[in-house]
Amino acid sequence: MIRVVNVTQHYSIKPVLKNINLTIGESTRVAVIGPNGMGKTTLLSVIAGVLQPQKGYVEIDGMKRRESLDTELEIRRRAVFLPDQCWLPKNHTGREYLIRVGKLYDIDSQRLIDHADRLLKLFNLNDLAEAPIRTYSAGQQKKISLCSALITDAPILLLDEPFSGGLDPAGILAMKYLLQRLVINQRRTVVMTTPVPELVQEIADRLVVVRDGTIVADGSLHDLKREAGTGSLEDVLERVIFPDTLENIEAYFEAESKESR
Amino acid sequence: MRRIRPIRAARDWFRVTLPHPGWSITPVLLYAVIETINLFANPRRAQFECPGAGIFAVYAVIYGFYRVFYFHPLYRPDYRRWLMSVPWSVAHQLPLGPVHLVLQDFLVVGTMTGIVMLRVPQISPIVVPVCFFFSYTIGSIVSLGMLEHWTSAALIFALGALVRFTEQPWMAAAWLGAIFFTTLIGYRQTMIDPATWDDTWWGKQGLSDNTGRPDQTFQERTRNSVLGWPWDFTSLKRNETPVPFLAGLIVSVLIAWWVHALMFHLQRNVGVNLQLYYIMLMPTGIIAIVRVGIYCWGQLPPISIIGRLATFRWFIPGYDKVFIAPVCVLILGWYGQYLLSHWGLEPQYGIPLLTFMIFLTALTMPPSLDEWRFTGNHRIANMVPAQPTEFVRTR
Repeated sequence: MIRVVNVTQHYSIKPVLKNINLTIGESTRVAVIGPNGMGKTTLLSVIAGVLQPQKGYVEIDGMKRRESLDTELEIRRRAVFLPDQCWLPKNHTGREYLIRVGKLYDIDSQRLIDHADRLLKLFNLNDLAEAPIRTYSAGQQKKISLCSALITDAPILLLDEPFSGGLDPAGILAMKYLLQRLVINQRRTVVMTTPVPELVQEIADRLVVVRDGTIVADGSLHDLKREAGTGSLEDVLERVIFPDTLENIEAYFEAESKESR
Repeated sequence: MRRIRPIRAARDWFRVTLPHPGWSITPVLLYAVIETINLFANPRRAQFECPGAGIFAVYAVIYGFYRVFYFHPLYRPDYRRWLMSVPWSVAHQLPLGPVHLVLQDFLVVGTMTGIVMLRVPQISPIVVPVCFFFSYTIGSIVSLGMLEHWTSAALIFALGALVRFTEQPWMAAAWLGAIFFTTLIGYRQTMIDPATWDDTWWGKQGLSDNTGRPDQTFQERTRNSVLGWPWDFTSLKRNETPVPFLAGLIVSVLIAWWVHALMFHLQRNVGVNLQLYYIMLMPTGIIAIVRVGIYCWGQLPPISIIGRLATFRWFIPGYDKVFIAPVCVLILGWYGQYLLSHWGLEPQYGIPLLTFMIFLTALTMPPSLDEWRFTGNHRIANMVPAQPTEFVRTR
C-alpha cells in the first residue's frame, strides 16, 4: 500500500504540489493525469523517493521513505521507478542490460535468463537482444527501459509516461495487457502518469487528476463520469482536466477576429 | 662441450628472474652505444666517467616493477587457474619464478650499481639499489593491497620509516630488513590459498578471475557495472567501496606518517624548510571539494538557493549535514595551524598531525556515503549526459 500524507513540494518559490493526500491499495492500476507542468511527474517522483518533499511524507507498505537505510532498501526492493527518459548504457546489449538490472535485485539467475527472454519476445526485441542498445530506435529504447522495470519483479511499479516516447501500437498493446495481467494475476500495483488521457479507460482502474499541484479528482472513470454529469470520456476530460481549454480557444479566436477587423 | 656447461648453468640460473632477453640486452646495448659516443665525443673525460650509465638507474626502477607484476599470479589469471589446478603449494617455488627477492636480484642490481659507481662517480652509489628497492616495494604494496593483506599497510609504514631514518644507517638497515621480511610474509600468506583472492574487492571486479570467463577484461567489467539512470541511483545498488572507521584510521595514520617522513627528510637532508600555512591551504581545499563532489554527485539540494532564501529555509538539516565534514576539513586545514603554532609545535610534527585529522574527518565523518544516498534529504538526479545513438538498424 502507498500512502502520500500532506505532501508539499516546491523546487524554488512556486509550489508544485500542495498538501497532497493519497492512498493507493494493492492490486490496482492508477493513472495520474493532468495538464503539462501541473505536478504529475513530481507526485510520482515523491512516491518513488527521487524527491524528498518539503512537507509531509510517503509510506510504502507501512515504511516511511528515507527514514533509515534498511527501510529504504526494503522499499526500493518493493517499489521500482521508471522515469520517462532513461539513461541507457548504449554499449550493453539489450539482454545484458536486463540481466544486470535483474541482478541488482538479487533475482535468481535462471529466473532472470528466462524472464529476460520472455520480455524481449513480448516486446518484439528478440532479434535485437544481442545488439548494442546504441543501435536501437527511440521506440525500441523505450521498450527495453520498460522491460528493465518489469524484470525487477517488484510488487509496485511506478512508471512515468510508459506509453509515450515512440512506443509503437504493438508495444502499447503489449504493455496494456501486461499491466492488466500483472495486477489481476500477481496482485501488483501500478502507478503511472500519462499526458494522453484517451488511453486511461483501458489502462487504469483508478484516475487521479492533478491540476495546479492539487488533486482535483480521484476515482474510477465511472466515478468521474458521474461527477462530471456526463457519459463520455471526452466530456469528462473537458470538464475535469482541461476546463479552461474551450474558453481559451474562444478567447484566441476572438482576439484574432478583433485584429483582422 | 663440457666447458660450455657452467656458462649454460649460469645463464639458466640468471634466467629465473631476468626479463626476456630483449629486455635484458637492450639496456646493456644502450649503455654500450652511449659509452662509445662518449668515448669519441669527449676522449679526455671518457677515461673517468660516463653520465649515460645513469640509464641503469632507470632500468633498476623497471626491473623492480617487473619482478612483481610479471611473476605474481594475481596479474595472470591463466597462470593462477593453472596453479590452482595442480598440486602446487606455497612450500614450493612458483613455477614461473619467485616473486620474492632472491640472490639473482642482488647480483643484477649489484652489477648495475658497480657500473654506475665506476662510470658516474658524481651519483651516490645507493641510487641504483634505492631505485630498485622502492619500485619493487611499491609493486608489492600494490599487490598485497589488492589482496587486502595487512602487510600492505605495514610496508607503506616501513617505507616511510626508511625515508624518515635515511640519515641513521643502522635504523635504515633495520627498516630495510623489516621491509624485506614483511614482503616475504605477505607473499607467503597470500599465496596459501589463491582461491580466496576472489573474495577481495578487486577479485569481485574480476581482476583475479578464476571463473573460466577470460573473455571479459577488467575494463569490460567496469563498463558493464554502469547501468545509468535510474538504476545506478534508485535501485538497491550500494556503495562498492565503503570506508569503515578502522580503514579510515589506518589510511589517515599512513598518510600523516609519510608527510612527516618526507618533511623530515626534506628538512634534514635537502635543506628545504616548509612553511605550515602554504602547505595546508591547497590540499585541504581539494580534499573538501572532492568529498562534496562524491556526496553531491546525483544528490542535489531539495530546493534552489532562491527557494531557500524566499521561504526562509536557509538551513535544511537533512541536506546541509553533507557539508559538515568538508567545513571541518577546511577549518582544520586553515585555522588548525594557528592553534598548533600557538602551542609551539614544530611544523614537521604539526603538519602530520593536522593531515591525520583532516583525512580522518574526510574519510570517516558521518554520514556514510550509503546512509546519505539512501536517507538524505536530497533530490536524486541523473548527472550522466546522454550518449549519442547510432542510427544503424540491425535488421
